[in-house]
Amino acid sequence: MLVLGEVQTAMLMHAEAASPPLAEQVLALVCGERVRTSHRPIGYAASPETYTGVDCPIPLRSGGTLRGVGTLAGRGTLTGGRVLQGSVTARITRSPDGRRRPWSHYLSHPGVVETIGRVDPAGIAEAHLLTEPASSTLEMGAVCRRLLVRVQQSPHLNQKSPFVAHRTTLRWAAETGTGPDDERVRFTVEDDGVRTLRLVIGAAEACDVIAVCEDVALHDWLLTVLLATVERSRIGAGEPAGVVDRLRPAVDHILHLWMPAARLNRDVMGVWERLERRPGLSRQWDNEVRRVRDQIATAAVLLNLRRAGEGGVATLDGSR
Amino acid sequence: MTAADAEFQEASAHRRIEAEPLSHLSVELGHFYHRDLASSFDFFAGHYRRISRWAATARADWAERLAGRRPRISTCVLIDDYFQTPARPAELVPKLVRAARSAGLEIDYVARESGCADRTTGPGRWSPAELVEARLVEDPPPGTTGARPPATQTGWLCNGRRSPTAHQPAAMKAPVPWRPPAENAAINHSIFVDIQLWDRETGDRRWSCAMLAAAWQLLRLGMLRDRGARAVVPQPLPDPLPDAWDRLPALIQVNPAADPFTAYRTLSIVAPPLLPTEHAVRTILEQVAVDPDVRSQIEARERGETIDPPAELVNRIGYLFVDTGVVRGAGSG
Repeated sequence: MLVLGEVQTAMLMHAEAASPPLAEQVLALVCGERVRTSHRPIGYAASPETYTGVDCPIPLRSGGTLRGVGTLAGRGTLTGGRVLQGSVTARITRSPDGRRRPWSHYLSHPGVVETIGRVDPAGIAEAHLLTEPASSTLEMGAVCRRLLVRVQQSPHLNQKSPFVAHRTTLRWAAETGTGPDDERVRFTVEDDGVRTLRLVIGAAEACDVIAVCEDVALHDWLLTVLLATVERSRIGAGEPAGVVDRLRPAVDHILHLWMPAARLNRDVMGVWERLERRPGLSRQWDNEVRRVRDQIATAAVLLNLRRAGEGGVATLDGSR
Repeated sequence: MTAADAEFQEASAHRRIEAEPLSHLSVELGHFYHRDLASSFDFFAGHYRRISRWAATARADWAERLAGRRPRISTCVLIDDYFQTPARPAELVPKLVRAARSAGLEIDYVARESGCADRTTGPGRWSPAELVEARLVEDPPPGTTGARPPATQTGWLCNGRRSPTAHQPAAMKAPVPWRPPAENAAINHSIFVDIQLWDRETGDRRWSCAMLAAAWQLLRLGMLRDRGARAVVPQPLPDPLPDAWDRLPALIQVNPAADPFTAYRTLSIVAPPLLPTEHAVRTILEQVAVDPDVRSQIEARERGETIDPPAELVNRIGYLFVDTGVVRGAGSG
C-alpha cells in the first residue's frame, strides 16, 4: 500500500488552551458528524473526515505523470487544546479497468486516489517529497491550509496567540507491506519550515500510518517552536529576568505536550524507535528543556542574591 | 500483541452508530404533487390500481431472491407539503389509505416532504437536507486538484464541466470561444445536467424538490445519521390526526404491522414525467459520501442475510416509470 500525505501544524489562535468542549466546537467541520476526543494520555480531538474530489496528473520521479482520480481525505486535529494540525492523505491504488469510472465508485472508497496506468509506488512517493513547497502533489497543501483556516476562523476562538510560532509542513509518503530487512525511515528537515518523511515499513493499517506521521509532525513542530523560543530569549546576552520572560510562554504552553508515540498502534511504533535513534528528537528536546529550566533556576537564584544584596538576609535555600 | 501489552480505550474516541431496523425493500407507491393531492378518491383508487401489479411483481421478485425466506417489504408515500399546503391530514391520509386498499395495497408509512427540510429531533437538530448537503463531494472535472475550493455557495451541482461562455466577464474584449459542457463520466457523448439544490426566492433557503427527494432516498436507505443517531424515526399515527401538516411528525407509521421503514434497497413506482427529477436525485446521490461506518454496518447486516451489498450507494435505488394515470404538477425543480 502506498499512502501520501501532508500535515500542517500550527498554534491554535486562542489565548488559552482550548477546553474539550471548545475543541469539539471548533472541529465540528461536518454537520451531523461527531468530533472524536480522548483525554489520556494527552488531550486530543479529531474532526470528522472531509473529502475533496480530484482528477489530475500525479508526478513521477522520472518526470512523467499518471492520471489520478479519487478523493483526498482531510481532518483537523487538536492536541493538548493547543496544537492544531490540518492533515490530508490519499491512499494510492491502481484502477482495475484503466479508465475513469462513475463518481459514485470513488465515493464508495473515500480517501483513495486510483491511478489510471501502471503504479510505480517508489516513483510516486519520491516525486511527492521532491515537489515545490508551493505546489504539492494533488495540491494537498491547499486542502491543509483550508482546514487550518476553517478552524482558526471559528467564532468560538478569540484569535489571540500566546506567542509567535510558525507553521510547519510535513510532507510524507509511506509504503507498507515490506519485509523487516527492507524497512526504512527517512526524516529530512528542509528550508522554510518544510520537512519530509519517507517510510518503508511492514504491515500496517493506513489509519496507523497516518497517525504516526501526524505524531512526528506534532513533535517536530514542538521542537521547532522550542528552539526558536530559546533562540529569541537571548540566553547569555540578555538580563536573566528578561530571558525568563521570553522563555515563559514555552513553559506555560508547550513543555507538557511532549509525548512521542503516546497514541500509536504497535505496528508503527518502530518508526518512532528509529527516529529516536537518529536524529534523536527526544534527546534534543530533553536537552533544550533542561536549558530552559536551568535558566529559570539560575534567574531565581540571581534574583534572591540581588534581594539579599539589597539588604535582605538570604539563606542557602533562597528563603528570607 | 504480547502478554505484557495493556489495552486502553476511551469511549468517546470511538464512534457508536445507532442501528436501524431494516427491510429488504422500501416501495414508494407514487409521488403526489400538490395539484394531484386535491383529487377525488377515484383518482387515487385509479392510481393504485395501475401500480398494484408492479408492486406485486417487486414482492414476487424478492420472494424468489430470498428462496423461501419471508421478504420484509414496506411501502411508503411522500406528501408534498413543502411547496404548498395540501388538504388537511385528517382528510387526506385516510383517503389515500382507503384508495390503496381498494387496489389491494397497504400504505405502511406516510412522510411529509417538509420533514426532509425541517430540523429533526436528532442530537444536532440538523435537517435531513442539511445532512445530505454536508456530505456532498463534487464530481471533479479532469484537471481538478485539491486547490479548488469545495462547493461554491451557488446552490448548483453538476455532473461535469460547465460551458465557459456563461461566465465571460462583460468587459473582456476578445470573446472566449464557446466550448460545450462535458459530462465527467461520459461514454462517447455527454449527458450534462446542472441541478439547483436550493434558492432564496422566499428569503430563507428553499430546497429544491430534487434535493429533498435525495434526502428522502437516503432516509429510506437508513444512511443518514445525526452524530450517530437515526435522523428520522417513524412515529405512530396520531389519533385523532391533526388539522395542520406541520403538527404531524415527519414520518408516521400508518400500518402497525408494517415491516421496518428503512431498507437495503428502494423502489419508486412513479409516472414518467418524474424522470427528470429522479435523474437529478441520482446525480446528487452519486456525489454524496455517506459515513463509511454507517455503510459498513448496513453491508454487514446484508451479508448476515446472505445478500450481496451493491458496490455503490446509487445501485441500491431502483425505479419503475409506469403509467400511473394523469399526473398534474410534475416537472423538474
